[in-house]
Amino acid sequence: MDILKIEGLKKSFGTKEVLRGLSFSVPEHTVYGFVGRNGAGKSTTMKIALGILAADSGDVYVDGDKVRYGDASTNRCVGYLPDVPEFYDYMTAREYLKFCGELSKMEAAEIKSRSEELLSLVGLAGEKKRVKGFSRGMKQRLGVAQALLHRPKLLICDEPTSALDPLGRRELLDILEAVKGETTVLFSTHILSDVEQICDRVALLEKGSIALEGTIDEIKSSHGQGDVTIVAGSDEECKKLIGRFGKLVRGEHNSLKLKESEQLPDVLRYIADEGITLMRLERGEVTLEDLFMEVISE
Amino acid sequence: MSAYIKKEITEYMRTGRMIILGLIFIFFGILNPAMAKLTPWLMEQLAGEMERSGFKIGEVTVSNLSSWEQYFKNLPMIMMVFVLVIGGAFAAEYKSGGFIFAVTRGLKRDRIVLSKWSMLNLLWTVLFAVHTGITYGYTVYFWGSEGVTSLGLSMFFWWLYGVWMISLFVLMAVLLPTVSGALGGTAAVYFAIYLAGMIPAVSKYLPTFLTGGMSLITGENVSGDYTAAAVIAGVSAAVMLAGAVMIFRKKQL
Repeated sequence: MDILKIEGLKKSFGTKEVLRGLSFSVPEHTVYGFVGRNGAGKSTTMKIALGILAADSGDVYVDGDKVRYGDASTNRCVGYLPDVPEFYDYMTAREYLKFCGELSKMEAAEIKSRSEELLSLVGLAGEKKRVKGFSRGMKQRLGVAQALLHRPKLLICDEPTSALDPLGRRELLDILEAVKGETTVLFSTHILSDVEQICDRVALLEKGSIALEGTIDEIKSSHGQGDVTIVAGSDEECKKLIGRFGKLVRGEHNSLKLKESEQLPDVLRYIADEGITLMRLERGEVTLEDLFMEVISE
Repeated sequence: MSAYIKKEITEYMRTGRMIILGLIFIFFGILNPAMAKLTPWLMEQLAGEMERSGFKIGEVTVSNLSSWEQYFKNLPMIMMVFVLVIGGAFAAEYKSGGFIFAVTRGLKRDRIVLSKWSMLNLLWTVLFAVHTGITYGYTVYFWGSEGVTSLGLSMFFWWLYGVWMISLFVLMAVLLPTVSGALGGTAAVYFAIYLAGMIPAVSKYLPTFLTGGMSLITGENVSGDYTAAAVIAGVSAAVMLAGAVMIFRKKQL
């Protein structure tokens, strides 16, 4: 079942059309990477899904219920982690979670046990001071704890790692990966390595709609294999190969790049027949970054 | 709703706003009778100098009315301080994303506005009661309560005026999401009503008329004179609150 379903979402700010009929679905128990450039409309989409921004047209369903602007009822099964969560500085982490639990109408005993469980998960169990003295990373981790407190079916994270240092980022990614079993995570980012590390599925938002969608393996395989690098023994041999195979591109030293790998058997046969010295043969891995750069530049 | 009100109370306690307001309300509560009590002595101190300038001061007598006069004279200023201190009640949450946070946790928008309004009225009621109680205690202790009519009612009217002012502030704070906007809007409406109050035919229908408690306790006015203003203040406070709730439902947070 899809925990989040977005259908034909449109949104403009003044004359700027940000979302142009955006549609995608997030299946249950996945970590779903929602990727796009800055200003692509990731936050806009998330805010519409949270009912805090009105769409011009289109529908959003959370766990089968339609999201209505200004109505918070669908948020009962959603946890939200903004990029820079702001807290009430005068509360301690435990007081803050208690307040969150009460807003979500949780039982006092459950708030207490769940708070302890989550504070241990995010590494804040021993923290007694008020939020005012927290670092950004600590705030982000407390943000995760509050977002997970009421066991939401969907956790919406809006660029949660973008304001963190490498260590904080690593910690947060580990936490998100750890909660995969109990919730579905929609995770927006422009950091592609984060997506490759923890996401099961990914969607690329470009020009107001989804340009690429699927599991990371699906996306990579649908876009062919990586370039092949051939390193020949001498400059003459390189020239000879280029003379025969026009699609080879000369690289540094005696290396050649072959973009269309279906030609590879022919090239290798030619190398063997002509007795060309083969110093190295290497297939590069396709990265999401390559694919996204390719899509964006189209 | 109670979780949000509890959070509001904690906020006022821990950010020092409660202490500031408490001290001001208590200070003026003591000052009202103290000023009345000290007036003869102050006049005596000044008498010599005044006489050299050609003024002659006769014997000054003070009564409980002097203390109540101070009370009604100081209340508008205290009210202004109160509004200034609560000025960021909405703006701070708009700015920090506090409202977004509450809504994304499933809290209904209506409840946010109603909780804020209730909290401000609770605060006003407690502070007003403390302030009034102190002045009342000292005044009765020093001068008794003779010659004062409808004292309770005159206080109730002032309290009601405070509720009206809070409702106006809440409406402005929902409409204009900055501290200056909320306070500026409140001040603008207050000023317009103040100007309208200069027209005698209109003045007794305006909420500001409720602040004229001195005329009631001296018997210059009777309680019936305030009925129209009280009803209009009550109804308009309810309308402003309802308006604030409805606007907030569709407000971009």
